[in-house]
Amino acid sequence: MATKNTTTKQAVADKQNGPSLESLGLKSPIEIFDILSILRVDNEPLIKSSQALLDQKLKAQTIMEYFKTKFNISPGDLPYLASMIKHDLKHGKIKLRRN
Amino acid sequence: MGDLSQNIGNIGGVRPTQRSEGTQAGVYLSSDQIEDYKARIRQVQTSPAERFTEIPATLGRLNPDAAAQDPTPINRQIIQEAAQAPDPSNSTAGIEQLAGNLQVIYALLPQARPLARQAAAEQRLVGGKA
Repeated sequence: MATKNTTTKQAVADKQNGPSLESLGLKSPIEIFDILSILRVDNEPLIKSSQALLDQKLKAQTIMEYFKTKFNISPGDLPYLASMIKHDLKHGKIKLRRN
Repeated sequence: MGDLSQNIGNIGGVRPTQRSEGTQAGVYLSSDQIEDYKARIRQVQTSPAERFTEIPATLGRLNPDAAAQDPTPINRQIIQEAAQAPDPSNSTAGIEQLAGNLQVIYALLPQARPLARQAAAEQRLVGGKA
């Protein structure tokens, strides 16, 4: 019963403040967009303009819009996505291709 | 002398810039993989209480064999300890006293009367008390 209460409390806190980045294995909010910006979905880069690559705010906005319009993933879910991609990269499930 | 265009990049130890091969650095994912991640996010966000539906336990689910049996409860035989249990140290003494008394055997067991008579005679020979 006590664990059920703590999980519901945690869920409410997550909805209000967003998930704890530390518990997701992320160091900062910038890291979320840094991880997601290197993705190439169906061979297409998420960020196409060089200006968006350099400007953090523009980069974040572009990534949020991309996932919302194409996959219906809300901005609140992006930390989870970045965390999973980071985890899979670390464990070799997906690989970073270099030039 | 050779082709100038081949050597021009090596002048002064400077390497010519490499052309892009068409692929760029990044993590290549498909739309299906993103959908998988989306499903995983949904799974992570739901609490364990929401993820599993609680099914009340019944005897049939726990043990189908037991459910098939007669539902009437088994009347267990309750064996209670005797209120005055005989003392183990004195238990043999009582039997010895009874069996030792040949008169009692003679009176209670008519079939054993010849045996009791013979035993009494033997005891008298030894000098014992019948």
